[in-house]
Amino acid sequence: MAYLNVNFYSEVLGMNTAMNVLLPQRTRSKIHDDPDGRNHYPVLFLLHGMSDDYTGWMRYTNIERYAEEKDIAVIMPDAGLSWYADMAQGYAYRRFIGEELVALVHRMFPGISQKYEETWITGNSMGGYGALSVGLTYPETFSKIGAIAPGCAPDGFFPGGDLCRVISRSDRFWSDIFGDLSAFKGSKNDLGALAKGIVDAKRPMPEIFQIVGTKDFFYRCNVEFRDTLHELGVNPKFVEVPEAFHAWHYWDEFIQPILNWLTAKEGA
Amino acid sequence: MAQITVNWASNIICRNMNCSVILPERATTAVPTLWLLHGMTDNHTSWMRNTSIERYAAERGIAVVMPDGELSNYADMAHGHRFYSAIAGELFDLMGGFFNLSPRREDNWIAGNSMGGGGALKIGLANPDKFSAIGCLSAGDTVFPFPGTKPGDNLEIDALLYRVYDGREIEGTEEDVLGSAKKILAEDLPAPRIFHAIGKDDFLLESAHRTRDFFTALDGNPFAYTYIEDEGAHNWAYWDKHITDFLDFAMQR
Repeated sequence: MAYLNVNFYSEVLGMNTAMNVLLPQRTRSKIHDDPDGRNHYPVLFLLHGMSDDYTGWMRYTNIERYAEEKDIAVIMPDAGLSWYADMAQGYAYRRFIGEELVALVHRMFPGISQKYEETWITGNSMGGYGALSVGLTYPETFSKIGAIAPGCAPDGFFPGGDLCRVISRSDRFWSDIFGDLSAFKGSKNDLGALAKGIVDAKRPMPEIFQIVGTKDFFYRCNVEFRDTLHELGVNPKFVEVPEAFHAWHYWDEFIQPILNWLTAKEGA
Repeated sequence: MAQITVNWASNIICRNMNCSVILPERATTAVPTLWLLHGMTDNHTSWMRNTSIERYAAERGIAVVMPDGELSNYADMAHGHRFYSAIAGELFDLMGGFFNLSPRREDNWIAGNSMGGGGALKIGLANPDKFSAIGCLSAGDTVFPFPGTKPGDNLEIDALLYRVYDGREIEGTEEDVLGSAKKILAEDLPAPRIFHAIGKDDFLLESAHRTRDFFTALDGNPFAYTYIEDEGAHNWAYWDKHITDFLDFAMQR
């Protein structure tokens, strides 16, 4: 496994940004005589949560060891506190990740698979929402979405919402990200609306895996999002972990069944 | 340009190694590559910190790969690691697997300063099928022993020499740099073009003259050997100025 710290310019963001990358090692001389006949490795885009940055997953979990066992590449970009949104006032992180970063990664790393069935997105907390919002905005790009303790309904944080005591931020903070807060439901930032849009347009629906602890402050919104998907005829894999709450200690565990699910062979 | 620090696992050295890479992230075709070696006391970050190499690479649309050679003299050390094999062989293959680097000989050039200049001559002439141009800045074909010194003058240098060579066979190996050049001519292999620059005030001037005298004595200048001896000394200001001269030389078609 090689670990790469990459600093690069994003045209969508209009600034330099950083990412960590884990790459299985294939040499130029050996790349064509892989015993499995596999010249490319699957790729997981792995998103961080609020208050973290692109270094979080490598610092607080064993992601490199797990990725090595699965022989996959992992791309860990940075999104600040943007909720991976195309912010009303700020940066277009959803487009950056769903469009520019995917294309850039394909150009930069020729060993990375460009196949739909080998391109996945996952994240924790805000990054779990990001994995869902990016994945459901670009359903032809990502075939599987792993959502680890995702903040499925960020409007719960808005002033007056049921989670506003968990993270207290101003109206301005949230409206800079999501625009008119009163128009959140049904908008491009509402995960249920994104999923409905895919169903209505008969676009491919990515497979979804939600995993969340029952003591997590995002537990309820995860149950509600699962029910919304059910109403749309979509059946996510849903795992609730008794007593688990919102902490890296659990996410290091949760990423493992997610990786097993992502890399499971068809029909296995 | 993307600036990348790669921590890679060397099977030859049996440990993780660092390498800096500068990459035109928007290139859609395989890019030409400068393999750029640092000198003694420096590492894989030094070219980026002491020169504007990223800007020069951006202007030319090329990648730059800067490995860490520690104090190895880019040799398969008698006491230490096999840096020559890891850098000239393993790393060259691996980076071409990671990134979209052109495998074509005419798109691969190797250069360096001081110990890295000697390393560039050594690796380039021992692998003429891989590299079409060599840039040797402020060195000769052998950095060791330092001119004007004898064993006992500098115990640190003596210890280094011992760790790198300790009586190992030189003749007929990659360490026999001028021998590699003779082999290219004798076997009619493709000859890399050589750019050699050193400042008048450089303490390695004597080493450089030895190398110059060898190449300028060859009939018909088969290595397109170009020698510059100008104002300057053994420092980063000199290398920042002359690395662009080398790139212009390497990219002449």
